[in-house]
Amino acid sequence: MELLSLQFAIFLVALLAAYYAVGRLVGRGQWVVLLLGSLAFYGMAGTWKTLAFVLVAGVSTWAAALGFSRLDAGLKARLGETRDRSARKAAKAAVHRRKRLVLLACLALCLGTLAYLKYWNVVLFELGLASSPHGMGLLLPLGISFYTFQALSYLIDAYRGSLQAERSLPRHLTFLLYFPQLIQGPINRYGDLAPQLFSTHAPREVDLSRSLQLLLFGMLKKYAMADLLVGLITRLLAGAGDGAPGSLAILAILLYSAQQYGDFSGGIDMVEAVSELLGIRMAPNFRRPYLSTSLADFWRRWHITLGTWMRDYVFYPLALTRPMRALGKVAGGRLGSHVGRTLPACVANVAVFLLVGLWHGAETHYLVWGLYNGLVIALADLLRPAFDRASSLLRVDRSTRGWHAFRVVRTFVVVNVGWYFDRIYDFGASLACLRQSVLHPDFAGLPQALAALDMGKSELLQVLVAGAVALLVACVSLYEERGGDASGWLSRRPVAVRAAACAVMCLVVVLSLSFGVGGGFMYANY
Amino acid sequence: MPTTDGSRPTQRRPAARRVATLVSLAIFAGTYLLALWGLGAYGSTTAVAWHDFHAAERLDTLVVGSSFGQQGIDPVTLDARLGTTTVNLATPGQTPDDSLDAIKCGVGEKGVCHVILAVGLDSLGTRLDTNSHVAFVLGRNEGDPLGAASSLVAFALRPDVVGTRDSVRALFPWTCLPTYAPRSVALNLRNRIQGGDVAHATEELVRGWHYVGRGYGNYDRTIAPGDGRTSLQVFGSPHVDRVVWDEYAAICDWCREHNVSLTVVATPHPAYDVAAFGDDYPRIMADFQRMVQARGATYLDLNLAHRSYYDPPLSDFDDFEHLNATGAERLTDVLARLIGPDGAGERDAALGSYDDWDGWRREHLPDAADAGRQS
Repeated sequence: MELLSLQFAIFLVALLAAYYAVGRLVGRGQWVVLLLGSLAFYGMAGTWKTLAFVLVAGVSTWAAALGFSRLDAGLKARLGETRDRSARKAAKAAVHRRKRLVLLACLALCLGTLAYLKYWNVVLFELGLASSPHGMGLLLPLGISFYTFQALSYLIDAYRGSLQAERSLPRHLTFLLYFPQLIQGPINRYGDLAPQLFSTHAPREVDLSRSLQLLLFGMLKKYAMADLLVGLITRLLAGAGDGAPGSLAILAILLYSAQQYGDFSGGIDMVEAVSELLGIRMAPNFRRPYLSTSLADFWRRWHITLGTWMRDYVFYPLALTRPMRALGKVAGGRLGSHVGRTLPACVANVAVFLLVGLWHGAETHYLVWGLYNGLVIALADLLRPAFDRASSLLRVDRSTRGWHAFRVVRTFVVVNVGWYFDRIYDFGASLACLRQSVLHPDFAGLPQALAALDMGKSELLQVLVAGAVALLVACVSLYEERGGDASGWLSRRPVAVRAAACAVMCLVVVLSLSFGVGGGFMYANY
Repeated sequence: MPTTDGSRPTQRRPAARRVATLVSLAIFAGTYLLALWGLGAYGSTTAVAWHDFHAAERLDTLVVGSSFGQQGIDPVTLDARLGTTTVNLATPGQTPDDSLDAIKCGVGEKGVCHVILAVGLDSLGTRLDTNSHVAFVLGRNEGDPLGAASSLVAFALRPDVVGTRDSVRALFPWTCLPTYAPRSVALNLRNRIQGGDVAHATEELVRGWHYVGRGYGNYDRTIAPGDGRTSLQVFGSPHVDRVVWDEYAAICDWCREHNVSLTVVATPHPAYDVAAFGDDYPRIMADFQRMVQARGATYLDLNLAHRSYYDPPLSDFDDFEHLNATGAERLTDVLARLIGPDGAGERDAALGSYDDWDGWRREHLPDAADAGRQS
């Protein structure tokens, strides 16, 4: 089932009716409607067979978290019984060991399942035991990465004692299976989502106009921008490489930056709007990433919830390990305090981005993409004093708008270099295209190369529509970056203006369907 | 706002909301209608076919099927040769379930007693074509917007459609017959306001197409020299969809049960296009022939015609799989002889067999056969 389908519209209307009816008539228990609705959504959008994997993650993390609670409660009771220091120390160590064992077992189960389903066939292919790295016959469960990460954040937070374990398995499954987040996130935290899921909401809490505007804007980005660029990007890249003007690849990657943003953030807008119709606000996942001033800033604005997940559950645990602290100490002693402070974080960053690259896929180009991002961020941190010194020597005034614009453009270029390794699926080809782009851009040859594509009127119209939407998205982003609230601005217009704006957005979305292009959400594949 | 009557602010807010809702709905409805009238093509080859069908009082022969039939069989020529009254209701991308629907309309409303169903190898794998079906529904329900709306909603609710974007497209039918050029939009609006002639409107919208009559029109263009594209290259390897196969079987069964004479015609392609399918063509089409004949229908594959009987030149073809106006006239002439009063006798002499595919290759691709022998 696609989000833009009659089936989803019927499902949503029926769910909203049941949800608010239960709230009004019973006064509580709306979460049961959410659970049943989410299960129905899973069956329609995914397959029932793969629900077993979700249940394994759900049951194991629920049971493990309850186990942590019980161990902690038991420890508290024992500590209350004795004042002997060594006995108390032994008791704490024993509980800590058991908790750690349960944590590791659960991590192994959840991550092992994810790894098996995503990568086992790649391993077999590399060993010559499979004919293709894809299509093992195993169905990849809908949202497996996202609900796995979400389940693990719950598990680890429970292990750390930063949340109260959920006693009810159905409520825990509601948190995991909550349908708006299933396809491609965001990765919500239990502490933020659960209070909203399990409280009662009334229709008057919902800003319907705002939610519908967000839904339409998301559809515009996904269907009238991202989907319309897919075919052209493929054709441009098919013609790019050695011998072709490097500007062909540059154009393709620039279009890809728009396509990927539109696909992912558009999809997120749509599901966030749907969630807001239920009175539930999910974690924001995008914050105008192409207006970032550094690569690190970019990754704090793009797929925000994955970034914070990696920060809290991979980066900090890794950076604060004993070996890392030792590394910092040694480096500090030999290379100065800045390097000593920064190096552990740099190593952890590289590790995080390698992991993110691996999460996209086990192919070489994804790993290189991850390594590239990690290294650029690490080097930027390590060389910050040198950059500061250079700016001072050159008397660069960093408070000016010009400097800010320079940083935004520079970051955009750095991000797009990374996209070469993300979008061009063969590592050798991505290097060739990048080399050609840098050494032989040949912008003068671009019109001829584009003419050779022999694009039909329909394709040209698709590009026009996508371009118009991209312009709108850019204007809205700039307005909001300067503190504006585009939705609020529209909401303050007369009703006829609002309705006309929404009608035009609908028209453009529907018009984009007539081209018969595009597919599912990119990030649903990860 | 201060007031002495505490109920007035509460009464005004719902009223303001109602007005806002009505204004919004009116704007949405207006935009929908504007898009439907302006962006949805007023004329289409499907609309012409149905328009002529509805206009006919009685018919004895109906042509159905996809664009193979739409461009392959000239009803005016057929009627001139056989003295029949025919409408060509074949439409681009028409799937067999729509063909059966058209047959039922023809038999029930116009008294049709003979059906010609045009097919090709690629017809056996096409289960769903939303653009085609929406155009079909609009034409079938010409002058009946409620009937069209209910058919489109039923299509949108089909299990294989409801979870896809096509379910949305069906509710915005202009997305299936879009025209975006300002001139075309202006033509659409003018024709809708003035009630323009559908055939003339189609000639204005569809470049190169001209109307002939009895639901039929065609192109005069020919395959461009050097255009070596084949069906295999463009559409990929042929595959048989079992649901589609069963729907063709259902057509044969329905016609037999209702005493309707059915002739299934595989329209000709250039020999190189048929050859590109390799052994898939004779293997699949032989199975199809057996199925069709077992259910009482007549089967004619004009690609099997001996060159001495029927040998369409390349100039008879619009592209690698469709005939142009000249080609359709020539084919229909041949078809009339094969299904006419003495047709049964002619067929054995005129047509070869799938069992002798090497013989077919030698006859239709002599240069390739020679090259094969020499290597």
